[in-house]
Amino acid sequence: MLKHIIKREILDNLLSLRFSLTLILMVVIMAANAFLFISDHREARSAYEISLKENREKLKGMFESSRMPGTLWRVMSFSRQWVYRKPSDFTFLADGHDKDLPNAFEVSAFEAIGPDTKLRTNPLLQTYESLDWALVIGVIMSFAAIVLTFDAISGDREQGTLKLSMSNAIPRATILLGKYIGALVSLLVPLLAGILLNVIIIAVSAIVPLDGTAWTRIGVLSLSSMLYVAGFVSLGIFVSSITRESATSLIVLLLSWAMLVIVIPGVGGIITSRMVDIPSFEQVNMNSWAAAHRAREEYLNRHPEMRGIAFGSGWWSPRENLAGPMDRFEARNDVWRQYGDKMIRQVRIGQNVTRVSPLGIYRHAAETLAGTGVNHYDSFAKQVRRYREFLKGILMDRYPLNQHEDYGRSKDLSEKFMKAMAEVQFELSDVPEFHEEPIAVEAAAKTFIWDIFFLFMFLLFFLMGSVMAFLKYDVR
Amino acid sequence: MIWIVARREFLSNIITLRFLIGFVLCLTLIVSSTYILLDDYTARLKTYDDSVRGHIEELKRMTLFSQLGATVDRPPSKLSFLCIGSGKRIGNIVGIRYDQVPMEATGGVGGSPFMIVFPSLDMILIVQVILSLLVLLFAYNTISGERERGTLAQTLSNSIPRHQLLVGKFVGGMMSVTLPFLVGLLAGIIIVWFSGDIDLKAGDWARLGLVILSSFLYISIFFTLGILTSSLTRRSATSLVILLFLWVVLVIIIPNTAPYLAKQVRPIRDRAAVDNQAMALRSEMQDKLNAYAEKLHKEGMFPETLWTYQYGSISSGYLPYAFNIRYTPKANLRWYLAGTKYRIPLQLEYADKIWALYREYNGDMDRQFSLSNSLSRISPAWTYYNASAILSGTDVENHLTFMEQARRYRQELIDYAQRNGGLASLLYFTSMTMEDAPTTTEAKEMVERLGAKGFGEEMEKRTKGAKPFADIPVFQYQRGGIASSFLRALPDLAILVILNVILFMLAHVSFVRGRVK
Repeated sequence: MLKHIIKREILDNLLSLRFSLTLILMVVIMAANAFLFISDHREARSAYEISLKENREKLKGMFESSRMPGTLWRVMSFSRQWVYRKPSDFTFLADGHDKDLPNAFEVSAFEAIGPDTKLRTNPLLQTYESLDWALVIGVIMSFAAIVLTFDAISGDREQGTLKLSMSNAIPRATILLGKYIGALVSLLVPLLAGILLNVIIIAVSAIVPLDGTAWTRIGVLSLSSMLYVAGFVSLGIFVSSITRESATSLIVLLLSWAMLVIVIPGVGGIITSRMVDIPSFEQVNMNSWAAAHRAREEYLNRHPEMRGIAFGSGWWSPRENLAGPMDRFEARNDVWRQYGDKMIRQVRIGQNVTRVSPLGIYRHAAETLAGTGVNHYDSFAKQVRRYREFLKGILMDRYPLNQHEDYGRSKDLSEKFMKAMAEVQFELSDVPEFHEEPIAVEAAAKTFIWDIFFLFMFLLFFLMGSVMAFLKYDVR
Repeated sequence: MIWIVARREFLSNIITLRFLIGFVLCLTLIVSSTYILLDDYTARLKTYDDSVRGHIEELKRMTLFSQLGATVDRPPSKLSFLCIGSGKRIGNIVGIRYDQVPMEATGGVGGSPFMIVFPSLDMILIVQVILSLLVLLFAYNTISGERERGTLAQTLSNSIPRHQLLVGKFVGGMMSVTLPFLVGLLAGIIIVWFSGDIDLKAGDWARLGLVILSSFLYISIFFTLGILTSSLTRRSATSLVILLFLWVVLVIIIPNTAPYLAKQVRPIRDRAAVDNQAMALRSEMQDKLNAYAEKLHKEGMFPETLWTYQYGSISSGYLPYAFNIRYTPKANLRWYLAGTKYRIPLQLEYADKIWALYREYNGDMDRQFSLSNSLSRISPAWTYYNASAILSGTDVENHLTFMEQARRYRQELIDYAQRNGGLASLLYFTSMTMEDAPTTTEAKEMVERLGAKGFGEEMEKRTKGAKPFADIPVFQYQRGGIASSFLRALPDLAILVILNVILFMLAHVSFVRGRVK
């Protein structure tokens, strides 16, 4: 019996105008998404590669134009390297403003200055939402789900067909379930058609390597998209089974949709920016120098013999004491790291606030899966920090003398320094290029499970609600 | 007669659920967004004030032309509580130096560069998205609904011309839709008024009025679209489905797709190429400077005692280019003056050359943006947004004029220097005059007599210290007048009016010719 109802519902839906409009819309937009992503990504990647090349050439120039110890000084202390965030391969799934977030740091062995936003695109054009899956499915499919289900029960009542169905010996729950599955299946057609077309275009273009993990991301996101759409179907059927008239049901639904999809994601950010107090850049800068000063005092207390001698210049120069300035910059780096973490925390809180709405949850899940947005930035910043520590390791490792000594004090020491340094081997190949590694898909699993759980609860809540409401529904 | 129809329409609307929900929604959304954005505005204004104060202090401390430059700030727009626009995303601080034409703004307001991931809900967005949806809910069954119920035939059996009925329905429907909006808006304005944070002048009220007018025009487009579709379709359910999908396309899809299309149609050159050209020009200039230094060396200009009596900062090595010399003998001053006189005109020339590169690049970006804008205008939602952003003073053009003003200010600073002794003069790198400076023999004698330290003290006394430029011009941000904003918004307003007229005429034709049953 259930099969009959489902079949009838599906056939009914497939012939309707709203179904064909949804199908056309999804196919067109998802195809557009793929083409736009391909050209956008090509542009972003070539800009990224140019940046890498520029940096490498600058580094090569440093090695060619100077000798030890000047090379060590330039590479590790004075002339910093630029390191760049790699454009994500999965922005077509969820962009998460990946392109607008800071993407570069200036790194030496002592510090990582930044983050900086190095734009190679038009900043005037950066003010819109991207046309990614998160937007197309998150906004348009949820809208379609509501338009398709608002009259599922109340419309049937108005037409009198509900009474007719009830005159047969079918349990009410079966009718409801049939309607639910019918609507869901009819929505999955445009959803899957869109996804399939999108993925095929991207696979054929070979713009991004679609390996096992890529297919995992795409597959799991497709499943979550179905869950998300199913959630809105249950919301639609719920509202439809608590209202008498389909017009009322539609109004309630559309306005709840506007609340969930437009308003809550729209105010989440502003609310958090008021909740979390971020110190100003100048304030942090001052704090960082104060911390550096404290570290310097501490160092001098530990090495009183260096008082009055060490810390000639702000940045470490050959012959100077090495350990002292390093301590000093470590203290500064700590302040900046805390500032960066605080800003990330602010965004995370904002995203959690918007997770009150299913769109917020879905978008969060999509960004976690795609490894884009703030997650991507955060992972990049951590890698930059590790890279700096790595450079520091090289410097400390190569430094052949006592790090707590100042070799500029006397001619003898100076000569000793020059002699020791001339023997140090330091080539371009000793400085590895910084390549940002994408976030592993496994790392996303923990938060992702929660998102799926929330989406599922959203679905279940309204599905149970509609079963209960429909059992008492007055079919006349 | 029209009035009777309108009244009936209005009264039957306001007792419905949709009216109640719409009313509550409009009121809460507009009030909360105004409240939040007002707070945001005051925070941004404070940041701006602090920043400007610091920058003016810095400017007033300047004593030498080698430091000639300033940092200028763009204030947040007073009406940003209506429409945040691009004002918050594009940088609002520009660093100016005499030897570089400003081409980019830096620094967004609000501190964190990560807050960009959140959209901002302002009044324009509420009208653009929520209210337009509400309007469709009021309009979708104006004709088809009555046809279904049979009341249309009944009404027309009276001696009422069809066009009067249509106008009456339009007026009544519009009244019931705009009522929630107006009440919300009024509440918003009351909040602004009583907070006292924003001092709204006559011009601002006029802008506000024009924004409200464009909101009306926008709302009525969706209303007439609703009437048109409703009179074209037999069933109101069909009419609704068509309208809702039209809404998705117009409000959500087109504004989000246009920038991508613009990028495809009008791609811009890679920024790296422009940067490299600029870098080449800079090193070309540096080569010329080095060559000139060599020429001076050959001419025997280089003072032998340069290193002995040198106090201050110079460019490097044996180059005749100095930034800040505290005291030095005459021969050294002459050496640096010769270099400065060659260097400054060259710097200005190359600043213009580099600017020419970036002007072209910036022009490409502007053109790409205007193309995206024009493409988005297919959707009334974007036309409306554009008009409102222009009227609120938060559109991109506003940023471009700010950049233009910053460039003009740079010229003002250069002119000031030229009027006050000239940029390429001693005042570029020292506050000494030629008369103050000792000859080399004098200096030698003084150092022998007083020691290096005593020589310094003696010279400090002679130069009487550096005097800051008290009357240096300060940057004044010129906000465009209401007239110019209105003129710029006029095309968008005209599009809204024309769309209204066309849609209403179509609705009229289809209703007059349409069936009653």
